[in-house]
Amino acid sequence: MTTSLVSPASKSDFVRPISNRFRIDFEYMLTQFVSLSVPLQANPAAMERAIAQALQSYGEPLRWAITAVDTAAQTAAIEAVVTIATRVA
Amino acid sequence: MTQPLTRPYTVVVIVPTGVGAAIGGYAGDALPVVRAIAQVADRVITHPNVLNGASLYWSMPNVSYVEGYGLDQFAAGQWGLRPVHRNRIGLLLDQGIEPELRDRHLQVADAARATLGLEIADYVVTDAPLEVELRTAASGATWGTIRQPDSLLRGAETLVQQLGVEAIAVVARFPDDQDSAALMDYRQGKGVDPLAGAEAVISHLIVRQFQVPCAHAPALAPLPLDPTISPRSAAEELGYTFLPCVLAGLSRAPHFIPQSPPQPQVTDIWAEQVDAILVPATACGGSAVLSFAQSATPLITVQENTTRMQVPAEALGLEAIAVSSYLEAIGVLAAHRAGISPTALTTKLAGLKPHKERRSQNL
Repeated sequence: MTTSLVSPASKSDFVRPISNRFRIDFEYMLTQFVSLSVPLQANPAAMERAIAQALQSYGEPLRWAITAVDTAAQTAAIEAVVTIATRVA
Repeated sequence: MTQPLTRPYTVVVIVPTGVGAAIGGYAGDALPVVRAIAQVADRVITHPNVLNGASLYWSMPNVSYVEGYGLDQFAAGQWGLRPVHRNRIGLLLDQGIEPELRDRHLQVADAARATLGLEIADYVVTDAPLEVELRTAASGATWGTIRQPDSLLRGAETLVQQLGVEAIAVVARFPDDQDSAALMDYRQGKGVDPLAGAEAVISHLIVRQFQVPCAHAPALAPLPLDPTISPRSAAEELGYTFLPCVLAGLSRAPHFIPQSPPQPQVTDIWAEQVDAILVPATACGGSAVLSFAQSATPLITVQENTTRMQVPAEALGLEAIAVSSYLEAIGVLAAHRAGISPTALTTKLAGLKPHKERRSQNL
């Protein structure tokens, strides 16, 4: 059932082609809650990319949402859960 | 409802999990909304939080039960949905569940096999207690983490690899906090579901890793009788488990398929086939909404369904059709499906005006 597909470069880091199905390639995993602020972007695609890039420094994004928008400061409040995995050597 | 030579009218209904939605934030209480929409649409795609009412559920042939992570990938165009007639379901139980409570859940699975005829494989117990931790964030939304996600995924791997299951029902032991204000509010149909955020994390982990349909039911000690609980929360007071609706939903949940699948089928569903998306008016900040907003798919926002979120469409520069209620939304959907401008059904229909050509100031 495994298929090998490449995600288009234009898509955000959240989108995930179906691959590595049925295979676990880590020993340990943690889930971590993250709260941060991201500058508002000009369009939804840019907004998704900005959120993805901001979350990547904490771990692999699992679930996130913009929870509030500060129009004066031009920022979006993000709450998320990321995963941090220790890969198999 | 399908007419010859027309494409199926497809609606996505989202009520984000754990944000205190006034409709859909409790025990499957957005299910009547979906039942009504399913009468004006050919297909409805929604997620377990909308359809799960613990012991109560309503199976509809034109409603797809799609876990939230998978729904986000579908909206982004990365995954497609392939309707199926039935799934072989695997049951994954948290090692942290006490023996008696485990037996209650196994009896639900056996009952679903005997009474509903569902196909359920042998069950797997995780190799460590999952240790669910609940959290309420600054926004008021509930989130959650689990200390042993690797144990969860190893159990799911066993179900998929060794038992060949096509969908996974997870039951994790959640902390009992019977005296908490959050739980008391929830039982009164107020506040935010304290468990919902952690439930979403569990199912997201499995869907992200294995790309199979998945849904979660929490294992909890039975609550003492409270004759004053809200009708919106009452479905979760009916039995010992929340598992029946999960098994019923997963039994026909569509499969996830990759872009350009090896054997495409005419019944496969892709994001570009979605005709409308419904969300609570203040909850437009999720991944699926942002993905659909990059297309021409109309976004219908429902004001009556208040949430703890503060993200209206206009705050993100999204175009939306704002309606006051789901009843109004259903009217918009019916008109849209019929090719009728909703404005034509109101008193606001103004006369046509001559087009004024815009000229660049540099000319």
